[in-house]
Amino acid sequence: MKRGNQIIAVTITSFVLSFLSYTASYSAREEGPAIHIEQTEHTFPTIFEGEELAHTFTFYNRGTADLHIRRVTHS
Amino acid sequence: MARYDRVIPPGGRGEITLTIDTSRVRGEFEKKAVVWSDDRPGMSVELHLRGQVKPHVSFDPGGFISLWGTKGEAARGHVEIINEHETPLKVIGVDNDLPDRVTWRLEEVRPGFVYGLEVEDISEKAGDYTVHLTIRTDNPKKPRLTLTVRGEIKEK
Repeated sequence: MKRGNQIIAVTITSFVLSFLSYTASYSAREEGPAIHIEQTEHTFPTIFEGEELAHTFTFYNRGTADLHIRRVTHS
Repeated sequence: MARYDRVIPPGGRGEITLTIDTSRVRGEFEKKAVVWSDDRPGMSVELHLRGQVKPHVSFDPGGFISLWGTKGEAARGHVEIINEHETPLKVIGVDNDLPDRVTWRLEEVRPGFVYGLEVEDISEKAGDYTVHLTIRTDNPKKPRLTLTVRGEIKEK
């Protein structure tokens, strides 16, 4: 193979490998955990001072890997 | 405070329980919580809780009376004690921590639900003072209420 053709082949190979790598990484980003919370708001009925209020929100993992809840901050 | 499931498998379900101590909350409130996860596109999700907290018993216009006057001229102030429940409230007594400065008189405006409390300065000397009137009730969740009375009595 002539030297010019070799350069072209290497360039094409490099381009194809880069493309495959990008595609793989893009696919990987679509994989993984996916949090889904149907209800994100709740209004309590009126109560008297001193009573404890509690509400439980339900969420789902609609992804393909374990979902890790890192922390819940509140204010 | 928040309790929550930490690891949820694909297709799984988890719970986040938020609790609010209302002993220091009055009136309408809104609390926000943020859930941080390893779901990159949705790594933070906001949760909102709203509500309203009523006092068991309240003062109208407020839990503070200011008495301004000159010695010998009885300065007076007045508040209403309002029962916010649907069942009647009984005022058992009123304790005065400076009886040589003020006197008080309680009357039933709407029996069991609204009481009028009149406070009068009886100082025999000029000066500033702060009195606490403790109203004792038969409501086990609010057995005591404190009314603060601030007096500023000048010489004639």
